[in-house]
Amino acid sequence: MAPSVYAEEPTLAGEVSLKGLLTNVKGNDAKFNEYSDLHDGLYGRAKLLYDTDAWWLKANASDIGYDTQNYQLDGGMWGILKSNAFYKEIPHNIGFGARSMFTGVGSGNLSLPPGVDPTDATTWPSSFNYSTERRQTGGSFSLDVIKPFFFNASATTEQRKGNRPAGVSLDSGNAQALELPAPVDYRTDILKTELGYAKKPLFLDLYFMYSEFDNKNEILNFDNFSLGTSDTLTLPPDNKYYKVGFKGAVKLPFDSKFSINTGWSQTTSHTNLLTADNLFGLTLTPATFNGKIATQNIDVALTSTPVDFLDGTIFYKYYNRDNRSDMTTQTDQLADVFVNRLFSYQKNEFGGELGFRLPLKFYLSTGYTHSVTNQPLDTLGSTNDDIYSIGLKWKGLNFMSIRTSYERLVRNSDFSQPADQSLANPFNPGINIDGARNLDLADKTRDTVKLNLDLYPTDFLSIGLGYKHKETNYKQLQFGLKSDRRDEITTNVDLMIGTYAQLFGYFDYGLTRRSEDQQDQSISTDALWNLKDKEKYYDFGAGTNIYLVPKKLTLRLQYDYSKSDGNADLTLSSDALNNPNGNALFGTGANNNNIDIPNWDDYTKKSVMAKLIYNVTKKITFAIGYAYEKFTFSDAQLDGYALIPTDGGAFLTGAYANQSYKANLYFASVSYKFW
Amino acid sequence: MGRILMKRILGGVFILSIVYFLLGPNSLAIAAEKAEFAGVDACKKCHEDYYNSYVSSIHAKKKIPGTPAKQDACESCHGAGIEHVSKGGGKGAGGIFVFDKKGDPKARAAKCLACHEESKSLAFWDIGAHRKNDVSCDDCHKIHAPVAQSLKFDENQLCFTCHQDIKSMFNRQSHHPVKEGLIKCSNCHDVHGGFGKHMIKADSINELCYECHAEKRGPFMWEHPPVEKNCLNCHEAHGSSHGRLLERKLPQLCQNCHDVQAGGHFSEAYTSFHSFNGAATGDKNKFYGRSCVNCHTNIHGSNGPAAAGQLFLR
Repeated sequence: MAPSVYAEEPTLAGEVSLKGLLTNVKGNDAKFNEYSDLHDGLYGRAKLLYDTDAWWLKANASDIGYDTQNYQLDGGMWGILKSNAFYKEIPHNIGFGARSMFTGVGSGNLSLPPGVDPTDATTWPSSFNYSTERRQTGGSFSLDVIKPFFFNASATTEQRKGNRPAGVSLDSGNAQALELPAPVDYRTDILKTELGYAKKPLFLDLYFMYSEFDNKNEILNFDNFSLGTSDTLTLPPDNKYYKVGFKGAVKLPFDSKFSINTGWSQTTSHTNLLTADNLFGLTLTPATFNGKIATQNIDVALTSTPVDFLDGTIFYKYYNRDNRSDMTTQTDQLADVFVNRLFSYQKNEFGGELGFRLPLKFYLSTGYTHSVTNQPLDTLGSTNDDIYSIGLKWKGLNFMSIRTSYERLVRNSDFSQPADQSLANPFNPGINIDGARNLDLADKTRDTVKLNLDLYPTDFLSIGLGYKHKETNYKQLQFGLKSDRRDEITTNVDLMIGTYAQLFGYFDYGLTRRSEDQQDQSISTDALWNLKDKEKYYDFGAGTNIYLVPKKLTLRLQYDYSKSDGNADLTLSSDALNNPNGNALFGTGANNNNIDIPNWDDYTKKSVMAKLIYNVTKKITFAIGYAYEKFTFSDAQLDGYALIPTDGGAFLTGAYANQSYKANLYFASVSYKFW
Repeated sequence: MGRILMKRILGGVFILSIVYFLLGPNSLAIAAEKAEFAGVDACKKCHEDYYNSYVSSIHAKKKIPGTPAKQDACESCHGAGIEHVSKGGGKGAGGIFVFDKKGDPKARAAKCLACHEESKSLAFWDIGAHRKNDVSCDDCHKIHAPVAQSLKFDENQLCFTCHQDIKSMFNRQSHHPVKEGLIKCSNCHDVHGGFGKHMIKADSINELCYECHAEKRGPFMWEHPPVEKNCLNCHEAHGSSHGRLLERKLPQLCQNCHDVQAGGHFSEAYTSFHSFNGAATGDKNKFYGRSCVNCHTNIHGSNGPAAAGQLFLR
């Protein structure tokens, strides 16, 4: 063996940077900062690495002091152990400056103060933000010194606080909706540990996971001014979850491997149920609900490459969700009985894949999967899926690869719609159907075609092209979604022009078309209507790095544009347009030419960035730049937003209203690297 | 005396024979094998940059059992180099192994798997989609990378070089915060292979989602079956043009299943006339704002009382 001549000197390296930012945001700042915290200020970042032959330490800190701050510490002793610790924040901003008629926003009790008029938003006392912040703290530890055995353990705590939009109907007829700020004050603790053995030909891994979710507010009390009583909305219950599992693999002759994965999990919750259903004016017997969901899974797979030109896999998967919760009975003052239904399902799946390396650098793959899902809840039934796939790849030329594939899914479901639709009354506990036809249980076919071409004619040019077509048809259904068709195109280019510049660009396009037939039985069986919705999306971008002075002065320019354009084309029979009395249902003048929805989550987003980077020395870099972003949003459900709509049908708070914004950002940064 | 001497001589010959058998020809073979290795100094002479990057990498750590540093350094991965040197070098000369993007991905991965297959993270590489699609270790990993960095560049950007369609999804207005750098592809996906569909790090979609969204775990008294079966019945995992990562707008998403109904508003046609400024005479609050969830807010499940809970109204 050659003598060791490696550096025995420890390595100390790192980087410190400071960025100053000035922002000017007009419009919806929450949408601009949905997952960020970009405001006027100084943003610091630091990295440090200390590495010796025996141990190492790595530290990272970013966005110090901001809502996206992130700290990570990794370290260990080479060949002995590894550990890490972190703290991280993730904001999610939905809307700033929302309004509420209630006080107590952020708590589990919302009160309507005296003198506040629900129908006059100028009297509403509260202004607040729909926003949540996750704060995660955790760490992990793994032992390498016990090789071939291994041991890992990790623990994470997440606190999540803020407000999210929720809503209730103020009356049993759903004539009025009330939007409420629901408090978010959650804590999730996760503990994971695993112990295993890994040495050819064997791999064994036993793991355990425990997660506990705690919600400080399992109910939200509010004043229901329509009913004149206090009312309650239930919120997510505390729960506990654990999972035990085993994974294993063994190498076999003929370049084969047998792998197995099994797991058992259980989730539990406990709730003292409310004894009043104010919405329907019911007084209920006290009861508790103990939720318990158990899952079991077994997966096995055998892979093999017995000869150079052939590789194959066969597999079997089983998944069972067993709802062992209480079937809880509550009786109201009229002796009506309410019993919950327990949803369980089992899924069995088996299949195989074969791949053939053919002459001239072709690769042919074929596959078949059969999947049976049983849902033994009432008439929900079962599905049998057959999935066939075939793919062809060619890498005959050094500068190109091309792949194409086709997959067909055929689903046969054992589901029957009840003949008597009048039985679909959810308030009658003896009837199983709740007016729902489960789409994922309907017969369907789904065809997916993909085509990808990658070109890399030189070391400094690469081009990628992709196309995907996916079409789903629900031929069995008389009413409901009948077809869903999606087409997507992706392209990207990357070009280096000597040492002078780099150009890059991309273009993506997506088109989704759906068609459904419906029957509005609230009017009559002749009230038929059809909806065709279309969603077009495309985005493109181009950018360049211009090396004005190579390795010294670089100008970076980038432009990105994305557009979403949706619309819904409705065609209604005259019965569907008019109520049984022959009066226009949608107001005077409604007809098939003017009821369509032209703006269905329509938006454009334009971003421009220019940045000049100057490497003063190998260690010091300055940068200065400007960025602009404009987001213009229009949607029929949100345009003309009013806290108290003129139809008197709701009292809203402003969630998701007016999402457009325009932002100008000016930044300058300095960084110092050392090693 | 003569007999004893003869026995000793024969015994000695016998032992020497065994020693020779064990060490002689084999040791000659081993010696011959080792003779084909040029040694790290020979590599450094022509490839000093690569040598220096290797020295600062984790592969040069002598404290870690089985590293190239504890074997034959460069030649642990690139193969014996004597012939390569004798031929004056050059890409691939003398049978030296090159980690070339255009080379056989299986052969490149095999070099890494020779040592790393005995690790937890690669135990299921064989059943993973990356292996089946000829992705090799060095397509993503920088083998000579400094200790602090093993991927060629930022993880998410790396994934997007092949998964352009997914990158496009993340560009949509509602998305998981991947491009903001707050979560990574590997938070959900086991990139080295696993049993989960689309290589997710869980045995079902819902189990994966519940790790971060534990408030949806329930269990609830009143369940919503499509929710319990698969979050992706209603949501897109990566990005959507529709708010809250919904794969279709409300009320149409709900009307996929909730349509034909005697009485009630499930199967009504909701049109532009139901907007805030529209002229519809009723049921506008089922359309504007947040549509169905203006009232049916506990759509993921409810512990609410009686009918109000059953309908997810409380």
